[in-house]
Amino acid sequence: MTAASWSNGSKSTGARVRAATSSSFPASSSCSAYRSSGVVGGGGGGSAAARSLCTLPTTRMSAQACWHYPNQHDRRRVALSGASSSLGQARISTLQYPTSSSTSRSFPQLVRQQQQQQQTQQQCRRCYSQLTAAIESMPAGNSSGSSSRSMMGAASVSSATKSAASGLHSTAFPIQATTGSVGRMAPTMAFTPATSSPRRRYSPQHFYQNRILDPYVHQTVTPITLRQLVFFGRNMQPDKLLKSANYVRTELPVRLAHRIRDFQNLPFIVGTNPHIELVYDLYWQAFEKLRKVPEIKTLDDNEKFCELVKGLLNDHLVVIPQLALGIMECSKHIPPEVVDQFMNKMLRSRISRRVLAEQHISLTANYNSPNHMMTDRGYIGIIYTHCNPRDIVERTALLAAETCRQAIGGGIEPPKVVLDGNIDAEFSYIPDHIEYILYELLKNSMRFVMLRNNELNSQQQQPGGELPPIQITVCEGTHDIVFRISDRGGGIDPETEKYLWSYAQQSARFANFEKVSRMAATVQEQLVSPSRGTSSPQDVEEEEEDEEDIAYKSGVAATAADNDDSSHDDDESVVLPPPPKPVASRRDAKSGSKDKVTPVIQLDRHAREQYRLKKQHQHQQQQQQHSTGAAAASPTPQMIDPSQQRGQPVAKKVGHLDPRQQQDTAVHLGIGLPMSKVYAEYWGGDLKVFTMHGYGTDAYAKFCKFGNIYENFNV
Amino acid sequence: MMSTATLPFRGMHQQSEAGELDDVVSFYDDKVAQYATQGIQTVTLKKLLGFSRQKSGATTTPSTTTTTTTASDGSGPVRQKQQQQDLEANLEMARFARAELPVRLARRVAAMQKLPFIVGTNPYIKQVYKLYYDSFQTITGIENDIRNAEDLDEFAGILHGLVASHADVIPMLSQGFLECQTYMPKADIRVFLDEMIRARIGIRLIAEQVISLREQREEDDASGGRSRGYVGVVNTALQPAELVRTCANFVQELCDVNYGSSPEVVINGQTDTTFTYVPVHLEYILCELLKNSLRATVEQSAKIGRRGQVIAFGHGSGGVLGDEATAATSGGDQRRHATSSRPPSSSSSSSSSSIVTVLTDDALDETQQPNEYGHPPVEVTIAQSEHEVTIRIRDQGGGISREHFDKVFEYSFTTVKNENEQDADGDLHETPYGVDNIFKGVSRLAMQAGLGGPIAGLGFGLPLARIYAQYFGGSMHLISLDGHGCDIFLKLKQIDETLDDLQI
Repeated sequence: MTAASWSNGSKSTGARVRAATSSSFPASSSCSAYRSSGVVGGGGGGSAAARSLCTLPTTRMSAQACWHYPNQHDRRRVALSGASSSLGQARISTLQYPTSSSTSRSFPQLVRQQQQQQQTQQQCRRCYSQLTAAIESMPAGNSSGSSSRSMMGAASVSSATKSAASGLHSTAFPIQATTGSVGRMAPTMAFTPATSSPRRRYSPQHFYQNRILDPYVHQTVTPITLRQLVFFGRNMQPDKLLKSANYVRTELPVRLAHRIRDFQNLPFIVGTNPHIELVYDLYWQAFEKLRKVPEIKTLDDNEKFCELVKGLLNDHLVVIPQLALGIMECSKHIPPEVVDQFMNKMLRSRISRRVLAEQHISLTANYNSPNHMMTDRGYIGIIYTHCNPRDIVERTALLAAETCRQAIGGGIEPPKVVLDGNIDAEFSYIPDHIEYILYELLKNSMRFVMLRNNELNSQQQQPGGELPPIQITVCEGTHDIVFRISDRGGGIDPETEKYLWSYAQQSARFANFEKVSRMAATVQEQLVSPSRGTSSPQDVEEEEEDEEDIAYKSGVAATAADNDDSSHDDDESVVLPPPPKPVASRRDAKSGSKDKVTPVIQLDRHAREQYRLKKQHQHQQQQQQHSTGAAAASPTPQMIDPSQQRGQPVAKKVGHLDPRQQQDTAVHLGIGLPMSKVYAEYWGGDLKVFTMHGYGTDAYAKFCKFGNIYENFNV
Repeated sequence: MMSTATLPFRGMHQQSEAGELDDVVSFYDDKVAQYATQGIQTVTLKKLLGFSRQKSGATTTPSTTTTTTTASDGSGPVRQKQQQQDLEANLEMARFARAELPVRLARRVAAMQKLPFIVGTNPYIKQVYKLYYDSFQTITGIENDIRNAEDLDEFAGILHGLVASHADVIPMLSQGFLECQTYMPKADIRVFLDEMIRARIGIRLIAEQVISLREQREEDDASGGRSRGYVGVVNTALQPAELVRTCANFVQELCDVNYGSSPEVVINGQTDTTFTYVPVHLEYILCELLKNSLRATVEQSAKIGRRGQVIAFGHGSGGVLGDEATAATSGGDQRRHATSSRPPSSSSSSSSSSIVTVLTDDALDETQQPNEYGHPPVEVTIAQSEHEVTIRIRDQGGGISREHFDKVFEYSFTTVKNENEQDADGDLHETPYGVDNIFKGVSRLAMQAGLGGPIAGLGFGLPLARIYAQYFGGSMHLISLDGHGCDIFLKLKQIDETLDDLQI
């Protein structure tokens, strides 16, 4: 029974990452070889194994990861993020097969599997003494051999808390031996002490170690308001920066702990789902890392802390797709209400943590930039204090139109957007949030208007003509700003409407997530590829030193590769002006007449602020594209698929869908609406959708304009 | 009546409180309890229609409950047969009503008996109680079976009397509970009233059906055929667009009387929609909603100084922030949204490559222009799909502030207290000018006088409208765009599509 065959036998074909890694994994026979070499040889063994991995298909990123992991302090994010997910997946797919197989395999298979498992177990026991010896012989970083051994006895929880992460990792091996699935685990463990989980779900250690969590779970979170963030972020001083850092440092573990506990309260069978398990592991890792950060006393400490957080942010980009898949696969084990509540909690908390983290990182970055006093431009960290409906709508409408144009095709122009109301209102908000919501809503509207038009055309009811426009009315009230997005796309049928906000009710809702490995749920994701085509080759050579930065940014941005077939992957793209221009064009638009709308997408101040990073990001993409050679020849702007970046085979993915279907599903992940609602509600706003079936749909996105509502965690 | 005859104090009470409800009588009367414990026989609309559907049994089109005029072109025997069928259907309906109504009335009586004693002693509540109790007694007192046309006429006559006597129940309840607020928790009142009103709709529907079937039969006999889409109180070919227009005209007139001007009502969408519904219900809902919208629009115009103002209300100094901003950006012209059936003309300056067009007044559809008084139109959009009809009403009346929003669906006495004239209307929009009550008074009179017909129980405004909307499985949602206006989504099931689920 090999990991590869498991993954083949598995019904859930899984996310690309998972499939790729499981197939890339060596058979169990060779596994033991890796295991011993990896453990005994430490870094050297790891590299040897990594080379072996390299020879297998699709493992470039795993290899990268493996190369970098031994050197914990010089981790590179690109490699790490991909690798962590792949390794996590691999670990899970190997570790978990006893349970996951129960859902995906027949009974005889199961029996056979168990027999094999027992054999493996015996083998493992034989290896046991070797292994423990190996652990003790491990060099520096894995110093706590003794504590490992004490933990093997599952006796000392306190030693577990005290021991360094690496110590914990190393103790994981013998634990494996008792769980019976050790064979496949060992190589991963050997190479990647840093990212492998500090515990094993089925081990007594994990259970007792869980006490670490308790004090954190008992702490309540300290909610903040948007306005507090704004006020705090003004006139940044070193002491304020440190204060911010320490707030984030103490707050994140608490928030994580609450979510970890939520996972732990799920039914056991759900917890054994590989997708859920992966996220759970990620959370535990993040929790472990963050809680161990000592108080931040200097700006240098802060830098390191920021690096850590960036890395975590990046690692966690797989969370949404994995959660969605996990929930989808577990739908028969949990009642829908529980699923919805769980997911809402998860997503809200995720936003909250990302807001805290990104805000702090952004504040730090701003502070570090040489002329930070001059470069404020309305930005306080990730908050923009001059959010303007007109800008937001123009930008998101162009993006959405581009997405739909590519996805639905047929030469139909997306419907126009007519904007009225208080379009020049101004308020403070996190542009990422509001843009994500409006993009999703507009995309939906356009998509359905276009599809309906096709339908009517095919019935010859409506001979050509312009599509009915999407009408956006902005209303500024005393407390709120409401965007009403009104389309004539035929509305939503009652059955669908019933489950519009549910994560659980339509079991196949998230099926498209199998094609998406990472998702940040920001509109930035849609901005990724465009300018690749426009940046000149020489740009590629510049600014390589900032790779970590880029990686962070690209991590945020690159993703959501819904569509993998190269003919469609420009779904995610949009025509951005060439990098050097946006600032100017933006100014033009501002000074120009109000009713004149510039036809190009305008990078606003937000974009300006992020311009540097984005440019780097683009360069990096370009670079990677060149290096992989995957899409360089294509004349059209293309989506950078993270897997593509890392040299994964593209062909693996959809393929069998007919193009039309594929195009359409590409823009339809199924999480857009619930996610938008979570975003909207997060700062005390709201999102409502009312439909007139047979005619059209109105969506009302409400935002609190003063930002004086506390983060909304409660579902 | 029979069962009360043995009560010892009966005579005394009759003497001392002639015309008043005999409390003691009702106390010792276990007939009510008897009936009340019977489960109500849920009537589906199918059944309701079915009683009369036999009318057209001879025709080959079972889907159309009404026969077309062609049926009447037939020879004498055919018509006779049809008349006989009509009568049978009517009789069956009447027999059903006779059996069912006492049960339903008894349940209401029983529910009122469970109110706190002090509430029950309130004169208004007591009066309602008496009404229900008397009605119960009256119907159970009918001894004859309903066998022929004469019996039917008599029964219908009785029902007609009862229906008429119940016309003021809603205002009475409203006033009664207004006075009883201190004695009962809000939530309890709400539950009680919800049930009361819902039951009332059902009771009336059954009674009305008997009455109107009979009337129709007479009319048919007189005119020699049927051409309407009506089956009793149900219209099988209801055109919402037409009904909206009727209601709009009526409400506009009311508005003109009170404010001197009124906004236009634009009807768009799938205006050719036809479906099966109880028109009086829809009529009530539409009038209620349009009245709110028109009033709010006019008041908002005054508040923010929309141009073309004829009535000098004095320009609101405060103004909602958003509106001021609007006024500032558009030079006093209000921007309005256009959901015209065609895209706005290309008069806006944007090039064709632009996705976003900022709507300017020139680009407005003609129907979207403010009228001569500066009022932006109230827009009614009708949509139909296989299962439902949606009517969306949009106004630019400034919306409802956050503080008031939660309250608009409460029975209004909970928000408006101690006013001389009770504000029994759902107070949809804020009314800073106090003209509210006059308008409402007139409106109520007018509604009760005619248009609202037998079920017009004005006084609860929005909550009542919502109960009506929900009655056949529909819904009513209100969205407030603070500073701009309100959108109301009224969803009605095509009741012949979902007949089986519907219980009346």
